[in-house]
Amino acid sequence: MAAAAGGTAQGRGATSFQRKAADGSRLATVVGTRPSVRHGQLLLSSGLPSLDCVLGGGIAVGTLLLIEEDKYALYSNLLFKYFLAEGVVCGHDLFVASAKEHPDNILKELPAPLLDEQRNELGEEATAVKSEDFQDSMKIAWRYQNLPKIEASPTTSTKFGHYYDISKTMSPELFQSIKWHSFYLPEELSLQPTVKTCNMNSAYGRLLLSIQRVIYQEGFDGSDPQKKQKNILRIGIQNLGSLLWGDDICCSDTPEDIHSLTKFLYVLRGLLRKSLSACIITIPAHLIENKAIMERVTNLSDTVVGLESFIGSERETNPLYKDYHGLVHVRQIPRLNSLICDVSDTKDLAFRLKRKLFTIERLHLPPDLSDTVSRTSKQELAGSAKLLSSGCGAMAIGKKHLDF
Amino acid sequence: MGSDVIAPRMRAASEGGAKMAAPRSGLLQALVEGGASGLVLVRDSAACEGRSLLRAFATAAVKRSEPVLVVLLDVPRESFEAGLSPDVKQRLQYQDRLWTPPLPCPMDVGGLLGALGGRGSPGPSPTLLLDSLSWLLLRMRPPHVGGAIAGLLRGGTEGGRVVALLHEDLHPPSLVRALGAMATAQLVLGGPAPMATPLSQATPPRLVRVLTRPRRGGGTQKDEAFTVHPNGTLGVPPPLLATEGEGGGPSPTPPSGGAPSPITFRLRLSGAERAARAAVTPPYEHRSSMQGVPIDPDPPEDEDPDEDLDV
Repeated sequence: MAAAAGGTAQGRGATSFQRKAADGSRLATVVGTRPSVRHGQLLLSSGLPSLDCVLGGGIAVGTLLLIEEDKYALYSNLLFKYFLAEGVVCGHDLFVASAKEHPDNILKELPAPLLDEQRNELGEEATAVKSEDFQDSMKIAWRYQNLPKIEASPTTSTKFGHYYDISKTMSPELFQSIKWHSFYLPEELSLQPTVKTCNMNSAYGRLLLSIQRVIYQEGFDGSDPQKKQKNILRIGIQNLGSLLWGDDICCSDTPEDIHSLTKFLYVLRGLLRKSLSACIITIPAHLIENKAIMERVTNLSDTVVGLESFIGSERETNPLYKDYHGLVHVRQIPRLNSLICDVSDTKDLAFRLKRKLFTIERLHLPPDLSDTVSRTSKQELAGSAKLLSSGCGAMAIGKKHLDF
Repeated sequence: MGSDVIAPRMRAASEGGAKMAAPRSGLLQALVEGGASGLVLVRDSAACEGRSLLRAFATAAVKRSEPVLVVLLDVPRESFEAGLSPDVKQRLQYQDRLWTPPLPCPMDVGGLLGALGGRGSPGPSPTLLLDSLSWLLLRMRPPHVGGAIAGLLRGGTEGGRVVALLHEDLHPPSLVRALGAMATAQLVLGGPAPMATPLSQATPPRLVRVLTRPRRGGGTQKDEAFTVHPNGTLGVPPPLLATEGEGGGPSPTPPSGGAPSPITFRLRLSGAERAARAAVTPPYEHRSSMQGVPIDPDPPEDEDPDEDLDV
């Protein structure tokens, strides 16, 4: 009976709808990627599972993720390193470009991957406390028991991407299995003093040539697809558009060279689209005065995420934000193979930096415990007004804060 | 729950503080006395000059017997070293008018700091004083200047520093911000410091806002008062900015914790206040005169008050 029911179900399933299993397995042959359920593009992890979830499952291969840096570029650098570390763990090739810090030093400071059991230990402490509370405390507010439990940080059900411990650096053995290319602008300038670049800032021109060379020479453009195992190239460009890249968009409202960066991004996007690569760029958006430039840069990128840290702002001391270190603004999500994009169900996102982990969470305001304080201050105001008007508060005038 | 979130932030702040300064001596003093590496911007304006702070950096570095190179573009050597003690003058090395008006490429100055460090003993880190960065910025494109400074820092040894004077009223604020993003520390000069007691000094104390780049979270902005004596040594006036109390005398203990707490009473009372408190008759003592007012509680109602609620 049961077997018959199963048989009919199977038969019915086979007639109309077929899973494209063969197609999926063909795509998934590249390590560290998975096909998107929505648009079929290959996705790779940004190295931060909560960010992947916010961006609709991950970063599609062939797209560009632009990070708007926070004021001191502390947290954007973390995202940058997460992206590269994920590449190391997945065995992808890396291309790291910087004008400030030598790429070798950046790679030395990549965070160490957290093993599953370590991460579970970190997570379990919190969840154990939560579940006990959950059992006991719902005697009065029993109605809330039926509401679905809301996860603080957005996560996906399937396991994709790794977690990293920022308090430790990655062991050098992990690097031995991967191939990486570096682009350090001062070195390049000294090696090749003159490079012909077509109507573009020379630093950007050099960088493009270098990326193009790697993509063509290492076969990421799919030129000899049958010979080699396919792999992904992860490109990371740090602090693009800053003074050190020879660009003046940061230091003037009307820069002389207004189109260099946009030209660079346009060409880079073309390179990415026809190769097995994904790119992360951090850009000091808070220094760019001219909003038109930032708008063009946003339009030329696929995914744009802005970080706003609380350091130095009044929100740092605001009790509403005391659990967080900054806000995450998802400015743009690409529309791939469809008219709509994978918009996350919540727009209010914040990040926090724990001792080992950096996470992106839904912004929850803390419970309003401050009503006693506000009530006393209201009473105090009313009381002092009354005393003054009645005239019998001569003793109390000037001694508002007595210790009763 | 809340404490483990705040803890890293506080720990990071205290780590940063320990690295920059001993608790007594203030951020500025720690920076001048060798705590700074990388680019230190001294941002002054026409109203408050910052060259004296540059001389303080020079004097402190000479005292640590470090090689010091002074690149003078704004003023002649005589006016820079006026008042400095002879042994300090002797130890300073100068580059006057390095970039004279038919400008060569500034990139070739990159190895200058490195050459300076190589000449001295390997131990102490070299210091380069640039007076002033504004001169360069008015004559070259900002990206070139930025590249030149980065080259200077790269050419230097580990822990080397470039202290650059920037007349911030000459440049657009966006440029000052962009340069500030490159700096590890910025010293923004302000007006005279508000002092509790007017000191009769030749050099009245002035305010400086110290902005440092955080390593991992933590507050990074602090206002401090300082004086620079004519011989180039840095003095920190003893009563600092902690005079914004409620007009009372000097508090015996500094207020603990940074943010003002929301409580509406004070835990520490002066003697006079304590006496005033003792003189007030508490309300329940008035009440005690009218005893014997009978209070009988309401009879317990046997009806359910929620009966009419149709749940």
